[in-house]
Amino acid sequence: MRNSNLGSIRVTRVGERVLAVAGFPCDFLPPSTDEIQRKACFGATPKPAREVRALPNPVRHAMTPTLQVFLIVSAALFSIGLLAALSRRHAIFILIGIELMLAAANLNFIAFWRFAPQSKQPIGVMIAIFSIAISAAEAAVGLAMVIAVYRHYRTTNVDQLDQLKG
Amino acid sequence: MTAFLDQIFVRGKQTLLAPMAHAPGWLVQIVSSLINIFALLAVFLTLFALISVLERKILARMQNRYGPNRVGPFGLFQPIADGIKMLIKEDIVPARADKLVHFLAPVLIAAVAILTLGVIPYGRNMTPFAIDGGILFFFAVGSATELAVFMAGWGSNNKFSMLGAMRAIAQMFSYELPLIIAVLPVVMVVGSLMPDRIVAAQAQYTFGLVPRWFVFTPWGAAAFILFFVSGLVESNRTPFDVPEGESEIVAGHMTEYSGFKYATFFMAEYLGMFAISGLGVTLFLGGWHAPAGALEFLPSYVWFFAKLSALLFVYIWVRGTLPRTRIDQIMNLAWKFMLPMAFACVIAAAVWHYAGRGLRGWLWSLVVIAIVYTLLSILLDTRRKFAPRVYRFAE
Amino acid sequence: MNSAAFVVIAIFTLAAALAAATLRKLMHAALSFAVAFVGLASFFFLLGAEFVGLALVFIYIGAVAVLIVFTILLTRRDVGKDRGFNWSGIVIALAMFGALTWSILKTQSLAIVAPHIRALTVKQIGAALMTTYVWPLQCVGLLLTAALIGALVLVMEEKR
Repeated sequence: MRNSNLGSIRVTRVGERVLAVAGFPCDFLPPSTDEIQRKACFGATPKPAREVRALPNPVRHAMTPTLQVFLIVSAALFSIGLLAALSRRHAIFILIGIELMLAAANLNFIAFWRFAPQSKQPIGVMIAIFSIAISAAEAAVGLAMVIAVYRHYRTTNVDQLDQLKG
Repeated sequence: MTAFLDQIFVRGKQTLLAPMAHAPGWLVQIVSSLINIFALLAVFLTLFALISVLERKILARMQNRYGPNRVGPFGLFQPIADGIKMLIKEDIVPARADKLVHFLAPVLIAAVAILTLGVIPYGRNMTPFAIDGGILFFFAVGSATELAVFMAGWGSNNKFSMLGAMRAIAQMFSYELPLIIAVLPVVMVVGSLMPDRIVAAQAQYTFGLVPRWFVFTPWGAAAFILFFVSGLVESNRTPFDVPEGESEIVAGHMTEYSGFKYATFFMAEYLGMFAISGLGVTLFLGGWHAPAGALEFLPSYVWFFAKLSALLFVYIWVRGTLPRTRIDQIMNLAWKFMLPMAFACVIAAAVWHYAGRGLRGWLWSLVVIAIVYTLLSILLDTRRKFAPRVYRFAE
Repeated sequence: MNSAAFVVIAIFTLAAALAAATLRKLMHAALSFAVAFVGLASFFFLLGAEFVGLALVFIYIGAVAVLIVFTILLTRRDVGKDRGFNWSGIVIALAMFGALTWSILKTQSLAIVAPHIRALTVKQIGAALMTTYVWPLQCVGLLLTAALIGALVLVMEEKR
């Protein structure tokens, strides 16, 4: 296995008609394409096998990150975002904190999608894509508001913004 | 023999990796990546040195001068002399600068330029970093250039730097939209974001003579022109080099850089130009395919670099021909003309696809492009703007 | 999935995020914010969602981070005055982290390794976006347009 992999590490099965890079048949690969096209992929940085096979060996389990570890990292990211949003006085810091919290949520979605058994639709990925789009819109409007507030009060310190009448 | 020459670098890499047959998988991966990175850097830094002297030679030729001709035969060793000069110059950091940001900006900008070079297929089986979303990778990583330019402007703590960075970011942002939307029709027609597949889709020849490159379809030609102009802006090349207009704001965001950091900026600009031209070759000019079936005996990478050199020559030619534009003209062009035209290209590509990808589709998409172009020129009233100049104060 | 890569990326991301939340200079914090998103994108790569990772880099580093630094630039007379730091925030954040970690570790059904699934291609994502999720996609498009116009109206110079 390893010998046949040397130059073409990303091709799982040598001689297969499909470019293993993408894993789906290409309608546009013309029949005249060289044999080597399918066999070797020069330069292609070999990709680690994406799937971790669930071996029965408990030692192996301890080596690969479980869903829990991902969730803990995500929780830490969320807490850092919360810290920024709660402790800082500057409006931009608060926005950064909110963005970090949203990012932590996205990480959770992707992790749950990856660790769940495969479904027809990649739901977790879809939610992450939409949430990224929405958080970009939120950042744009939020920063525009920071600028508008700064024009009025000459400050972006949220503690000093205590007037209801502009 | 042809096949051997074509795959000589692939074989070379396999030979280099052969002694590692029994090493663990991750080690093979790392070594394989390192070989790719090394090859990429070696090729493109050599090309950078070569182009920097050729550009001066060609510009000199266009302006009726000699150009560099002292160091080595025909002045070919000029880049070595330049490099040594840059290396031994004093590296000045302004006292009030944000030192960390000032230092990181050239590093980031060079890293981004090199990373974007990685996804381009240079020949048959010669893509250093072949991922499924290669085109998206190119633009995603390339968008960090703006941040790097901003870091340079901010970190220098100098008004010329800041103004230059603001101008650079404003025009890069404006032209990123037409750039990406001009790429969309190709992605749509091929149905993949992977550069290798886009190249493979342009492999055949009509009647064995005319290659099926996308630049030979009406939408492809229009998109290629849009792509090329946006590429000029993204790499800060001459008609659009307002960010570093030396007659107004010393050198823009590079004002406070000296010695090797300045050289790094310079290098990154050229590498960015190679990357965007390489992407243009991949998307519209058939990648590494030969321009005719009979010419396929030459290795694929020769064709790629021939096309790349042709594009780079056009870049230099444009620099020798056109004067610098004003910033408001640049912005008007981007938002009022190029963006609608880019959307028209998307529609024309769809028309081409649904009319059967043949002669009929070709004509219909030409009609779409022509209608949108005429409408835009009437709406923007370009005819009045380009009327003969009237001299009010001088005859 | 490689545990060494995981540890490296986790430390990288969390350190950058912590820097983004606590650094005194606003510009440094904004740049660390961008770095944190590079780390997050590498997490997505590690989890096999390459498209989302690339989209994240594209949107957050290409757009949101640049927007943030621009805002800092436009409101810069205020920079450096950020002395206020609410220490109760640390307590709440730590409590939040503790509670989340405790509940995650307590849930035994979460201690699983990744199953073997087929790689998700960009084509599949595109097909799903254009069929099942076409209405949400349109709504997001509408929302983005509204946000664009709203942001423009907010920052437009007021007529006097």
